[in-house]
Amino acid sequence: MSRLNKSLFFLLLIIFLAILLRLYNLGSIPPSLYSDEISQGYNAYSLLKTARDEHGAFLPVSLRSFGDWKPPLATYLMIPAIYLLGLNETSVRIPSVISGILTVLFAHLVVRLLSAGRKGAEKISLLSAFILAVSPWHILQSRAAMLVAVALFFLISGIFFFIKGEKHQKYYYLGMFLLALSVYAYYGMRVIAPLVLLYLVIRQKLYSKFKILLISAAFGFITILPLLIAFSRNPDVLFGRAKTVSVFYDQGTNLRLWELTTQDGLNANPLITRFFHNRPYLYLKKIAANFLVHFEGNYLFFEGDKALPFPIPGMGILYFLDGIFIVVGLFILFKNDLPIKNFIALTLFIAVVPAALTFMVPSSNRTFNAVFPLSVLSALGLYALSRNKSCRNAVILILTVAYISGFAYFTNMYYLLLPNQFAQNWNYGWREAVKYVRDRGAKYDNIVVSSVNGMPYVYFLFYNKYDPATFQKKAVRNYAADRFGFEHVDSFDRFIFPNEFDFMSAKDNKLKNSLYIVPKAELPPQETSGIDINYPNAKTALKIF
Amino acid sequence: MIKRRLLLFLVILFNLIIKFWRLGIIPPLLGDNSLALRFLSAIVSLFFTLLIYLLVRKIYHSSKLSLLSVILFSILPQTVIEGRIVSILVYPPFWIENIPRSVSLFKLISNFFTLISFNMLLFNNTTFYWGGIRDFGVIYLSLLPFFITGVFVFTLQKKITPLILLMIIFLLISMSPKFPENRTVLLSIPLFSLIIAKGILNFWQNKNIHIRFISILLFIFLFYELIQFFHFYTIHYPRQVTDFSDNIVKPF
Repeated sequence: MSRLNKSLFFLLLIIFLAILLRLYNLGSIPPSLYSDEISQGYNAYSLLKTARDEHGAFLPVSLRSFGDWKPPLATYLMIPAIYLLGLNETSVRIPSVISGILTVLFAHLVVRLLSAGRKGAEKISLLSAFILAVSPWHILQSRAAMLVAVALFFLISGIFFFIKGEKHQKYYYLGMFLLALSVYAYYGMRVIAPLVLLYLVIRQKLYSKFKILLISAAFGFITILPLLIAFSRNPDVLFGRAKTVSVFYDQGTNLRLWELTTQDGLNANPLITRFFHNRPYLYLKKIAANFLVHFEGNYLFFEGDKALPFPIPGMGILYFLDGIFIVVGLFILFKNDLPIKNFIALTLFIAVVPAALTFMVPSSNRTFNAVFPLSVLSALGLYALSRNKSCRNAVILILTVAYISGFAYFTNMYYLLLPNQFAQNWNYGWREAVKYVRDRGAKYDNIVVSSVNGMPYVYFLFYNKYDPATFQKKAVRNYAADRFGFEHVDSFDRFIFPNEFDFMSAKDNKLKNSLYIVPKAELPPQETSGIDINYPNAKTALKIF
Repeated sequence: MIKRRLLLFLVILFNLIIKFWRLGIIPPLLGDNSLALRFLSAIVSLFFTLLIYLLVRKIYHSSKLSLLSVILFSILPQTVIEGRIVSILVYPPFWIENIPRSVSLFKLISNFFTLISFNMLLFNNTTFYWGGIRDFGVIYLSLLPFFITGVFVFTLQKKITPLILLMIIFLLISMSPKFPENRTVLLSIPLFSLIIAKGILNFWQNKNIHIRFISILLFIFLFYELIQFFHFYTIHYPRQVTDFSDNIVKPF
């Protein structure tokens, strides 16, 4: 087999593996659609049926959703899948899956392009694609409609075409279009894409090719024009959710500043106090800490992201062995001064910047773009270790066994344990509750669903395939944000969703002929009456009264 | 030669001031009659400073490296803090409490990761009840690029003994029953000083104008961080110690 055919064969094998790992039981692993996923799914359905989102906005460039103004690209990509496959879990997650698979392919292409002519370039690019294909972090995000898998695909493919533009200038425009499109995929891309673009313009010395730069800029500008127009009408569409999770929104730093200033005492010179205790220094430390926490071993290899729904039971977001490969890869990268050095260092740095500006860290979702440079570093390290001349076979054998063991552990945790023992992480139970109401709830005048935590209304819309046009007219909302900044639906049709609700208090004064659905977590442990909706591990998720 | 001796003299003078100035007041004594032990701690710490200078010069045959290591050792938070309380260097029971015990491999690695985390390295000192300042880690934020460069250069030159020693100390601390409240981190400070010094020399030897500019910015920021540290140490730390005096391990 020629070298080219061999390379193609391995690439196809890797792509096949990526497809298998991302498509297997997609509808039931993760075990339920998380509220963000189902909201996008119903909005895609609403756009398909009415060309408007659930709020009645015509072809929106930002989805108001729960008041978090979701970037809309992934939702628009769901429309063909929903049209073809119907409104279900698979059609909602398919854009992420396809993006994830294509990202594996483009990761290979980008690394090959950037290291062309270097020794081992083909192998390193294949290893990068392989590591990405089996990465727990990438698999988790590719199998969920959480925006970032789609965003990463547009970023990597945009980078690929932009670099390819060096030889065929038409690719510059395609690259620019894809990079500009990525800002519709995820909030973080509104920081990342411009920075990456700036780097690429400098790398390609595009500033000296004025005509190409101008046409590329025009492509980019036209692509983001709808977002800019929407921004001029409503600033929330650009950084709506990002604003409420910003490190500057958090009051912790201001309180600390007040505490330290007070401790200096009334007699202290105000100028000196300000010299020691000032916002720039405190924010600098905070942002640096937020940035660096994403590179800590316990987070990467043992604990992972603790924010729901992202935890993978019993492990971090990378394989333990990846840690060794990454360290070796970093060393090789700088020692050998590889041409890919600046690109990897910058993409890694830029990927973490948006998360560093928020206060809920570490976050695997907001730093998801880092999975690509980390995979390349891992590949570099793995390649370097496998080239060890003195005991090459032994090293390869040990690494293979260790990597397969890590992979087996992950598959057990993610594909078996997560859906059965950790279904609560993914809001399991609402689909079953909707089914119960559909089967046996016709006789009730009101269906009262506690909406203290989460957004159950959207599950009733999604699983009942509730007519979007009717919902746009009948939904009762007060648009008052709760303490997390989310807006709730109060009611529609015969469904009522009280946001401040205590069933134990309401128990004795129930509405006539009404069915109540309450999460078990909101009830005292001694409350045993009612019908149980159980998690797969037989623990109670919801109670129906 | 004379310049270096003068510099060494200044470092010793700085150490004398830092270690003995208002020794019984900052941090406040907690009624445990430990002033004599504190005094001994300060002397041992001063002796350690000289020892590091001599050792580094002997091993690496570089006065620059040894001088820089000893300057860094003198200003790192842990040296200042532990040099002014009853430190592990002069009070054997603290050692005994820290004798490594067997822990599970998972726990060992997890503790190790905690120790080498940026949080512990730069931002937080978990040994508050054993005398640490909560707001400062093992090294200053401005020294991080130099530390990373030092690690890289030592590895590149295949002179990895300081790195291995650092790993061994951290592994032993990871097995301590007192983890993470472990003041034996102090033992790693000379190694941190040496690695950072190596990084600084490497940075400074680079004639690239951008690298020089970054170095100068980092030194300015280091100066600011040092002032911050001494402000915290003299103003906020005594107050924190007084507020939590009941929980602080004695003799203090």
